[in-house]
Amino acid sequence: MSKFYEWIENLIVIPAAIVVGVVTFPVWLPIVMVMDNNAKKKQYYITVLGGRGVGKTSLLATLYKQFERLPEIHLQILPNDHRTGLIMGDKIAELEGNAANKIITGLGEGSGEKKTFIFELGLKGFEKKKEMEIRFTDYPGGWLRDEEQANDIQKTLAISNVVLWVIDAAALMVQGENGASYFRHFNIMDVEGKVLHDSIVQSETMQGNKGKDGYKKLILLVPLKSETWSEPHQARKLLQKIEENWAPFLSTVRQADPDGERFAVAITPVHTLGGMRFDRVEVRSGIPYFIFRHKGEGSNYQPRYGEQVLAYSLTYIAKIHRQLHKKSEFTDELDKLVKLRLEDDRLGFKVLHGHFTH
Amino acid sequence: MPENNAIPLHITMLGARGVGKTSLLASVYSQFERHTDQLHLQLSPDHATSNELNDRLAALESSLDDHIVTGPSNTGDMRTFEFGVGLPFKTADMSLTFRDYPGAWVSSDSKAVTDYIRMSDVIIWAIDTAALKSNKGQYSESINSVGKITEFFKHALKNLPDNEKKLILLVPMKCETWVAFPGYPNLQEIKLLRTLIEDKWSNLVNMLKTIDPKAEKFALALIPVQTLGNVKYAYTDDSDPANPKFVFTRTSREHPYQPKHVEQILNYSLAFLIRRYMEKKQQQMSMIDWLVYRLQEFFGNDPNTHFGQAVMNLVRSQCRDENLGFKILHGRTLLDPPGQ
Repeated sequence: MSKFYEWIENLIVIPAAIVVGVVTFPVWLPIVMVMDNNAKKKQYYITVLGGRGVGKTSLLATLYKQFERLPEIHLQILPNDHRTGLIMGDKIAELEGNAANKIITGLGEGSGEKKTFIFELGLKGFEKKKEMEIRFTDYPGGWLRDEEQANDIQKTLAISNVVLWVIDAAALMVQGENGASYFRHFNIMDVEGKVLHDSIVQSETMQGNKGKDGYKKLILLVPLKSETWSEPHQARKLLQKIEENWAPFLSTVRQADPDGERFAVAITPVHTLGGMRFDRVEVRSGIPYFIFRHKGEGSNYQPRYGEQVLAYSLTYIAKIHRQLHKKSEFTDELDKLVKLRLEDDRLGFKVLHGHFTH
Repeated sequence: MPENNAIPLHITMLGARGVGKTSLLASVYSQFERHTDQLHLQLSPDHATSNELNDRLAALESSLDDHIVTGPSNTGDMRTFEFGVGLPFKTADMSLTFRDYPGAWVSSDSKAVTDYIRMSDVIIWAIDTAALKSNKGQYSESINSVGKITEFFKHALKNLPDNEKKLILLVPMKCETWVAFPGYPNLQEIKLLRTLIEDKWSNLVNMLKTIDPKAEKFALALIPVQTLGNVKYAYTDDSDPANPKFVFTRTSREHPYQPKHVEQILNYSLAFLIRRYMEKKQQQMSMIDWLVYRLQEFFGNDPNTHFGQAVMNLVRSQCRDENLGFKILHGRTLLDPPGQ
């Protein structure tokens, strides 16, 4: 008798379970897909944010060239496609070949198109098995001025885990005659801040993104051409000036994220001019030009601290990666980057908000 | 970008041509966030506004001129500046529209001015202080048009529905010379300026007292601002009496651009507007909104409490110091925290 009941029960329960499963299909499928996606996630976006003529592409070339400066790390970074390799190579050659001992920076033409540089990351000699893909997106600074193009930047920012907000150190630090400041000519920070702000608002409302990794962001404030302000007291002055000008943004970040779980903000200066120092500012028909020169001997192109931008970016990405992937030799190597990070304010480095380690 | 479902609130900026209304707005925007650290409110301009304000600030900060000449100059069309106001990194709940209308309309298109006053929640009246103070105020009426604009207010505020409330801010511009020269508050001069304005604008004050005896519909406050910082009135160039120009000189080469008290314009406006916002929201609330609201309240994350806190913070950060020239001339309760 009881056997009969069991049989009847199965006859009802199994089809019922199937029916429930099929009916709720639209509910669980996206959940499973998101979980699946996260488990496989290897792709991370880094977007460069900054106005025209600040040196966004030079920064990327410097980063790429200087990754080898992290010798203790058993990691390798390679351009994923031929094009990325070529552009990086050209830019480095251009920077190195700049034999003149004078550089004039102005608002310039800037580069005209959006570029995505894809790098693959893995253990040294990984050619067959990449562990991670980093996509750098570099927009022409002029795009920020156009509403439609700014929307495009906003979309990439929304899905980026790292934002490199570049700053023209000279425009920030140098005062012209009569105390005039040219800061906002180069750092159109009201526009940059607006686009970044809107991208964060957008990423919060993106489907399936709430509280997920895609939502977390490291914002690196990267003063470029900062050789001139590398002595300890000068470096601190630069830090102070950045903190002053970015105070409203920082205060918004702190209010939105009091625990430092969603955002991290740090300052990482880069010497992109390879050692040239600020000489003077010239204003021609209302447009400021900054002139840099080699001081003293040794006029080789020697950029510095590009590897730090990568160390900061990758430790932050590693933190997200570790929440989605098992511990492995690769993640162990990534974790080593934490120790190589400079945090010395005498060198101009400072963590302003958030956690980097897990 | 202000969302479509954000509650729209309107601010009109009145004032003579060339008095510096757009520069004032740029200064307000750049100073506001610096002075309200723990506000938990965020001002986010739309794309065109952020571009325009960035360039205006760049121009102000990089200006090399030793002499700043003001006077009727700018012509042009009406311009609008849009801001979303919301919690940090959240979709905007309110949208603020600033209308910067051409000063010439005061004489040419009185209907438009009256209409803008009627449809605005806050009206900022930028006063040319130099015109008011220099040459015994000989050019004040032709530039500040006190009589004319007061008439517009009379027409605009007549027969307003009872639930329409308005804040009017009298903002004397470039006050450095008269309130803070050489660098510290000059109590005597401030008092002189305040009484002069109270006297010249007495018709407006009296009109408000007549149509709003209980002081619950209209608020009027005096907010003297230093739009540039470190400038001093030098002389009036009236070689062309129809277009007098006021010349200022820089007092410091160190910090050419240091506006003061400008953020107060937004502190006053937002304190007033957020009260209006909360009222409007309650009026618009549907049954479902009400349920959601109650549920949120039940679970202790009432979204309105953030706004409530923001109002308290705004009121707390309001400068009402008469020694600095500030004064609420009418409707104080509309600027106080709710429930007081």
